[in-house]
Amino acid sequence: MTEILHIWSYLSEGPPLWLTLTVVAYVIGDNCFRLAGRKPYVNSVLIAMILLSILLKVTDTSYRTYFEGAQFVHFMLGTATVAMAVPLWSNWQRVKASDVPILEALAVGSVVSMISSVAVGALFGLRDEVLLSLVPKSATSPVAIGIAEAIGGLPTLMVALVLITGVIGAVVTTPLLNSLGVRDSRGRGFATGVAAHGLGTARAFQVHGTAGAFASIGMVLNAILTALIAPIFVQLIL
Amino acid sequence: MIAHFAVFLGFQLIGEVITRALDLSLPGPVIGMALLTVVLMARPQFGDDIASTANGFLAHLSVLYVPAGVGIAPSMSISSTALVGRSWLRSSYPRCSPSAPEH
Repeated sequence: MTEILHIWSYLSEGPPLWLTLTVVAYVIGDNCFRLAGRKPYVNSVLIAMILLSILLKVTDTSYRTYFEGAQFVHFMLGTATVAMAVPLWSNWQRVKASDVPILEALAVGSVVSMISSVAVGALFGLRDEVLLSLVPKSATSPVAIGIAEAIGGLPTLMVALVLITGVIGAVVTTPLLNSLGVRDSRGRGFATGVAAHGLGTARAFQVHGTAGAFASIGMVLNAILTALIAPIFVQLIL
Repeated sequence: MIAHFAVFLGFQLIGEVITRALDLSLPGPVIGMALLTVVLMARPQFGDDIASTANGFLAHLSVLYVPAGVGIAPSMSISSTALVGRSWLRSSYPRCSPSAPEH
């Protein structure tokens, strides 16, 4: 028994355990997603998050200890962003062919996301830095952190809001776009990427390669546009 | 494949260096991506080489969001996971009930 406790105390403090469990939890989530017939509300990230947070709670492990291991996965977010150059490049002709609709959709999507979240937040009595933290919720998290620092929001809250936006987006976009009658994979993907950044993009890649490519384009363009206009928007509302 | 990975990491690093050096508000990986896109347009042959690695990597993009997601999972379960997790979580693990968020 003491032997087992010994092994546990070694493992629970080092990176290999939580790194492995992060990937295993995701594989479980992904299998649930497949077994459920690829339904959007069976979100693999959400399942992995729930499994791991229960596990952390049961084993009384702090998030800091967990992140020591999981940071290797987290770091790859940046590398994946770089890899999105490939779908952007391979779809460039199609992007150029619909450049006007893309720019219109981007401008509307980006601005509506900021105004709607801040308006709803203000309606429910949010003020100051909490309200400002809502502004870049549809931008991808590394960009949103930079924006949070620039406009005076709370970076930790902002990351939480960005992730919640992404998960909700990944879950609701498919039924929402179906009910709106949007059938074009390019339009569906682009809207998902603008509204729900990387998590929406991940979902779009699961559905269709073209949707994924346009979602990554939407995500990237929205990240750039949000970084540029968020400071101006904040000056206008203050 | 590992060489292709080195390309992505290399552009990420270049992006980080540029954003720090010029004090830009854009994150390094976004700049790295923009630069790699320009390189791919100049050398399409290179794009054909790295395409399979990039597509395989991006097919599993969502796993990368798990670590950050775990950090907010307790607070999320009060606000937005009613869709899947909440009732199940309540019945099978009462101590982790959504009414008692950690932060």
